[in-house]
Amino acid sequence: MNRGAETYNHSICFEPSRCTGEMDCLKICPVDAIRVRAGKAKMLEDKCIDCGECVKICRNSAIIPLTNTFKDFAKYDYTIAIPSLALYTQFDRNIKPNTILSSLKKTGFNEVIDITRACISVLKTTNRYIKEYKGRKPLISSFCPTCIKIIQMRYPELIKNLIPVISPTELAAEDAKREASLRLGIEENKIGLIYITSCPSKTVIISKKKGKYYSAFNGSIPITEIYNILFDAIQHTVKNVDNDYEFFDVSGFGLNFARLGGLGYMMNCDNSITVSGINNVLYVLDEIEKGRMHNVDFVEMHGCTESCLGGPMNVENVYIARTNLLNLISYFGEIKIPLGKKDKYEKYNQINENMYEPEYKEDVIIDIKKAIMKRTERKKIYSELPGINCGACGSPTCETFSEDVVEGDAGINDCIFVAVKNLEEKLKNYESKIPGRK
Amino acid sequence: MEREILYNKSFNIMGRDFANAGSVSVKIKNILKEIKIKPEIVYRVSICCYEAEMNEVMYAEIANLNFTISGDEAVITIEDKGPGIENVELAMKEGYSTATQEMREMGFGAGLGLPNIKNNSDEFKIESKISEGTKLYIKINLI
Repeated sequence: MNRGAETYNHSICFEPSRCTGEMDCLKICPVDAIRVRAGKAKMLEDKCIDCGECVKICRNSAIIPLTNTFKDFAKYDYTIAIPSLALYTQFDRNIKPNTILSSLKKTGFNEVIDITRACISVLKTTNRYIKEYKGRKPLISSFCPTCIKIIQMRYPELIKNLIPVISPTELAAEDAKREASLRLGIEENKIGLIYITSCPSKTVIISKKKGKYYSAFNGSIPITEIYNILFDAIQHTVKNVDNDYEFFDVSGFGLNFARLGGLGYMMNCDNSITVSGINNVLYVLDEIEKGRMHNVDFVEMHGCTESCLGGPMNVENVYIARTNLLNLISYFGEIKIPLGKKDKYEKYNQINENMYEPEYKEDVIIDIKKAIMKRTERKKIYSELPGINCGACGSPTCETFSEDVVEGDAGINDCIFVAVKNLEEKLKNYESKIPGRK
Repeated sequence: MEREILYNKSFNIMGRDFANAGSVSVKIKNILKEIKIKPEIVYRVSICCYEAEMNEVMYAEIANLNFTISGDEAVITIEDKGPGIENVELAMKEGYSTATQEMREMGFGAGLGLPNIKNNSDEFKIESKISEGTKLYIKINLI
C-alpha cells in the first residue's frame, strides 16, 4: 500500500481499521516493540527494528510495509529496476533469471539490471577488508539492514565491527545511474532507480535522504506488489521466446550471495559463522558483546531465516525458494571466480567508514537516582504480577507491563489477575460493612 | 562529599566454573540497561566486569564481586582467595599471560584482561599478595 512514501522512520505501519487485536504480533516481536491498547496494536517507535516479523505473522494484513507503487515513478524520464536476488527464486524452477529480468522490463521499466556481478565485486572488497583488518574481532557482515539497525540501536559499540562495504544493490544502482546518464545524455536526477525487494527494512534506508550516507535508490516496490503483473509478463515471454528476449550476464557464482552461508563460501573463509533469524541474531550479538566470539573472523548475519529468501515481502515460501536458488546455482554451474579478477565495479569506492552511526534516543542520560527509583518501583509491581506472560493486558510480558505501568502507558488493573484480586478485596471490605454480616 | 549509595549488590564467583563464566557481567549489564545508561558506558562496564570475572574463574578459588552505584559513578570491587599475581606490572602489559594451554584452547588467556580493564575504566587500582589473593577496584563514571 502506498503512503506517499517520502521519508519515514519505520518501514511498517499499523492499520487500526483492519486490526482485530489477535495479539500474534505482540507475541512474535523480538524486541517487545508492540502494545495492544483498546483492542488495537500499536508500535513503540523507539524500540522497533524494522525486522518485519509482525508483517509475516499478522493474519489480517493489518501491518503494512510502507513502499512505493508504479505511480510514484511517473516523474522520472527513465526508470531502472534492480531486483533483489530473491526475485529469481519466486517462480517455477524452469523459469530462469533471463526470462524473469526480460519480463520485468516489460512491466514498465526502461532498463533492468542484474546484480550478481556487483555481488562478486563487493565480495572481493569484503574479502580484502577482512584480510587487512587488525581490530577487535569478529567482523560482522553489513548486508542485512535489520541487523545494522539492531546494532545501531542496541549495540552501538559493535558498529566498529561492521564491515563498511556498501551493498551490491547500491553499487549496481550507482553504476547503472551513471552509465545510463552518459549513454542517454540525461541528467542523473531524471533517472529513477527502483529496488524490487522482499525487505521492508531496506525501504527505510531508501527513503532516508539525510545523514553521512544514503541510498542511491529513489524508491522500492515489494515483490508481493509486482508479482501478479510480473507473472503474466513471464507467461507472455515464455510463449513468445523469439521476441524481445534480452540477455543478462547472470553469474551463477554470484547467486551464492543470496544463499545462507554463501558469503563465507564465496570468500573461502573457513573461520566464519552464519546466523539467521532475528532471535538468533540477538543471541549472537550478545555473545559478541560479551567478548565470547573473538576467535571468529567473520559473522554473516541475517535478520530473516534463510537470509533474504525469507523476507516478509516474498511470495514463494522460504524453503521452496531455497531449493529454487540451489537449483539455479547448479544450473549455471558452480564455477568459482577467482577473487583477484578485475571487474567494471572496481572504479567505485566500495568502502565508506562513516556509513553507520549510533541510533538511539539521546535523552538516555538521566537522573540516575530517579532511574534507580523507577527500577525499584518496576520490580515491586512485577512482584505482584503472576509472571506467566499471558499478554492479556496488551503488553508482551509481565516485565514490559510493569514498565508500562511505571511510565503511565498502562494501569495496574489492566492485568486481569491483579484486577480480580483487587476486586475480591473490595468485595470483602464491602461485605464486612453490610449490617448483619461478618 | 560522601556520595549517596543508590544501588548495591554482591555476587560470588567460583574458580574453574567455566560453565557459568560471564553470568555476573551479564547481570550487571542488564541492571545498567534497565536504568537506561548510555550504551557506550554500559559496554565499558560490562567489559571490565567480564574481564575481571574471567580472571577469577581462571585463576582464583573463590571471589566476591561487589557492584555499587553511588551518585553518578559505578564502582566494582573484586576480592578473591587465590594465588595472587607475582608481578603486577608485568600482568598489566598487553599480551602477557600466565594462562595454561588448556585455557588458551578455550579461547582465553590472550593477555588482554587487566589492560582491557584499565583502558575501559576511569579509575583502576590493583593490590595483590602472593598465595593470599588479589583485590581490584574499578570505577566508571555513568554520565
